[in-house]
Amino acid sequence: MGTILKRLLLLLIGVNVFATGAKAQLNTGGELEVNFLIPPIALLDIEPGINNTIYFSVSSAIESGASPQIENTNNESLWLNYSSALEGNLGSRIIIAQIAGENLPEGITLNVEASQYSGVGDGQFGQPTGKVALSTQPRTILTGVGNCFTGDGVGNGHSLTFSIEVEDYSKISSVGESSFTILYTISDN
Amino acid sequence: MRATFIILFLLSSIQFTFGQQLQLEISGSANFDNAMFTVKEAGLDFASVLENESSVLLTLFQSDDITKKNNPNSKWRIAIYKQDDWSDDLLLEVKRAGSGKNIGNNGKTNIHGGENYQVIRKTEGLFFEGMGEIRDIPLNLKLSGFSVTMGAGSHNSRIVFTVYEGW
Repeated sequence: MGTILKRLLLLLIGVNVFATGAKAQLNTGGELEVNFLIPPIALLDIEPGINNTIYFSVSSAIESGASPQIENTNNESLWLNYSSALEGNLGSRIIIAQIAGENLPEGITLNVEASQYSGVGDGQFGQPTGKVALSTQPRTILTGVGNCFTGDGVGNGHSLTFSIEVEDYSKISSVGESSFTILYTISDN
Repeated sequence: MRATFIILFLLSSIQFTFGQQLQLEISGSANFDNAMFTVKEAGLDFASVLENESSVLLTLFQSDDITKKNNPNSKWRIAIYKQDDWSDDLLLEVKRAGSGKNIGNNGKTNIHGGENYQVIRKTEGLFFEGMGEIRDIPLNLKLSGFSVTMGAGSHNSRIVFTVYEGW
């Protein structure tokens, strides 16, 4: 009887050791993969957006021999807003400006200059290239645009300052009213 | 002799106690659609929070038929953590969006906790608790803290669920 009990006891101990050993695997789990993809983003606009027209007037000189007077007849401040998310292998983007459609009257230069960034955005903003003479060819006004957003609306991004210069008086002639569209593009570098 | 029987009884009890084999299964997808990541207007960042009212379902069952019969109302708790290399700004949260259904009967499930979003961290934390076998417990995920400043690219994480016995 005692031998049988001892054997039974040993068997149960063995079974329990197995059960206890298996306990490490009793509490099982599961896994869930979570994936998301941020797509490349390259968006740009000019604010305030309701009326982005800049007017200049070139009037005759006040006095004989003096240069014509150039006036910016409205003080609308234009701001360049953008959002940019680059794929890993791309270093940065540039923002270019060019005159679309009709060209400038002869003898006149139209310049644009982007300010340093200001606003409520975050990230790596573009660096202004200074005063740039516009033409129908693309001209870079900002370089080094990284992953960033400038904030939306007036006061966010880069303000744009326009100026007109008489480049060559010999080519100036009365052209009446002339209008141009300036096209801005954010582009991979 | 009496001592031997006591030992036998205790060992048998221990075996019954530890003999439970709770299993956990996750089904469904937890991907955040690429189309959700849009910028409404130039100069803005992404919308700050994305919620995935997904089809992720969690089922908890006993894989051992004998244990299921002997201890159908075993208590359990589920803990979670995540594995990834995300920045601390990027938050993944989870909540239990329902109570699931009992396996084998139509009664109300005994399940509690986890009904509010909680941040899934890289260290394990309690998610929710329950009793018995329950299937199809729906889970919702929420993602926040992402930005265009992170750049374009894919981000992956793995949520690890572990079921433990008892509350």
